Amino acid sequence: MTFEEFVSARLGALVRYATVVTWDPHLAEDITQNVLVRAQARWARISRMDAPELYVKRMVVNEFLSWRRRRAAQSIPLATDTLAGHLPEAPDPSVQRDERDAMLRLIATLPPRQRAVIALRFYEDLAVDQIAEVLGCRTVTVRTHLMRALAALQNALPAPLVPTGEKP
Amino acid sequence: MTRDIEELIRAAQELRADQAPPADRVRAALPRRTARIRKQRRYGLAGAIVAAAAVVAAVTVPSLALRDDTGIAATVQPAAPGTAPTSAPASPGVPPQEPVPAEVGLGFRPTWAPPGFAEHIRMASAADPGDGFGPVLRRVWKQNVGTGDPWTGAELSLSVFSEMTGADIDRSGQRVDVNGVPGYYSPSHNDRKSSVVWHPAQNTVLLLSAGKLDISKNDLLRMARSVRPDTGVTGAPARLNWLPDGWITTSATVSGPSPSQWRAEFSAVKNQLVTDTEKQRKESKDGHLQATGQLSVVVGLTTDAPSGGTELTVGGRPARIPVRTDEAGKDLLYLVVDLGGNRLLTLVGSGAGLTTGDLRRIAEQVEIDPAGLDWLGR
Repeated sequence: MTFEEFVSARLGALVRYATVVTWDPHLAEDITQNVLVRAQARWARISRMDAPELYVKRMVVNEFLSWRRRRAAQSIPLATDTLAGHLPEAPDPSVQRDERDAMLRLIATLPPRQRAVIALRFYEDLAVDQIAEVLGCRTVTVRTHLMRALAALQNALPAPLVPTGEKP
Repeated sequence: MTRDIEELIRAAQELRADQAPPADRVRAALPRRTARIRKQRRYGLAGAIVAAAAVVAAVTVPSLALRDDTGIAATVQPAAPGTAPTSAPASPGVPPQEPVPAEVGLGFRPTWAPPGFAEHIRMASAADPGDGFGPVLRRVWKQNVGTGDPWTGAELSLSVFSEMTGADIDRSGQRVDVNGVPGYYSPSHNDRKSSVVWHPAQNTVLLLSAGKLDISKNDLLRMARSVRPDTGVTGAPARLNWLPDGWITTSATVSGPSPSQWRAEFSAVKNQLVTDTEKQRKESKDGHLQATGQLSVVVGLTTDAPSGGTELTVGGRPARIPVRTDEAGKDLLYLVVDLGGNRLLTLVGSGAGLTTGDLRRIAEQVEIDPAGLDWLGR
């Protein structure tokens, strides 16, 4: 598969994935473009791999968790205003939408690594050992992030909305 | 308690995914993006904020000169002559990278900007020998900036590309005339980013870009057409006189609302030849050059370092070593030095064996020279 073929076939999914990992459409666009430019330069190597797409997705996560962006996370709080811009202006009468919108806001408050882990676990449906491979860490570390993320989300949901859920 | 939490997460993630930017826009921007990405890797922190860019051809050598003005306001500890950071040692087959020079020729300036905009940022970036884009000077006009990180809000920036080889101007935009030479205008795609790129003279390429700003094509072209040669030079009001072996300064950014409220930020890296993980090595035997260590040094009226930390003295001045315990920042090293006069020196870095001792030595040899800042806010 050439780089152009890869982009034609997978860019839509890649941008969606990046948006879920970063939780920020603007950042996702920025990171996806960064990653694709780098991937293009290395495509001869990447295309020989067993799973080129997984490698590119790993690049997206690594870029998201990079030094530069981690440091920025200290001084630039998550743009809740921007997030709010994507949400309905009026409360949705549907309970399901209330829950989902509450979750939308809560995921934004997670630390970047926890957000990445839940993206890989629930959006990408990767197993814990696969997530560990993507993030370059131990499975126990992934489990810890996952547990903390789920606990934080569960605890932060408004009381009437707190659902039950299985533990990782 | 109506839905399983994992189901709720998935529903929220799907909703978020539906808010992804359009893939065709991402794809259309890739050719122009190449230059920007390469710059970002060189520029470190500040590069993340670059609004738009184009690839350019050929050369104009900016007039580089050593500043001889004086008026040192605060010196933590003057460095010994000859200790300024030098080129990073070359890896086999890779030419050494030159640090960003102490002063850079301005080259060009717009003589008109939309009402309310003034020049608030100048960023000089070192050339990366691997990409042929050469050093870049970026001048940014904004409606206002604070005393902290300036890269927020609407901006208009003029990037002067110099010493470029092996690349060409991006011609994907609408062809326009800029003072008798062809330029290419790229309109906003509902993202408040637009730009025009042109050759004002042989071997010179300029990029005027708007970010987070709704500006008409006429106004952007008016600003572009107002650009004239500028024989001045610009430099940072601070200088790094020492970096650990192999580290180089890749960008210097000066910003602020006024000359008395300046902020200087330096990005430095240590590039090393690295190989991938064991699994990746099996699939690909070659390594690649990348920044294994990164460092930011900021002199300003504010700090974004965490509060608290171990107190110490650096160069006779009070200092502290804050510690971050959050997941994202737990391996970042911080050092904050109070320079007096409400001015703070903040260093944050990680990787390539960087130590707190290194930060301390870097801080001890930072030299402050706040001259030539009259342009801030004008």
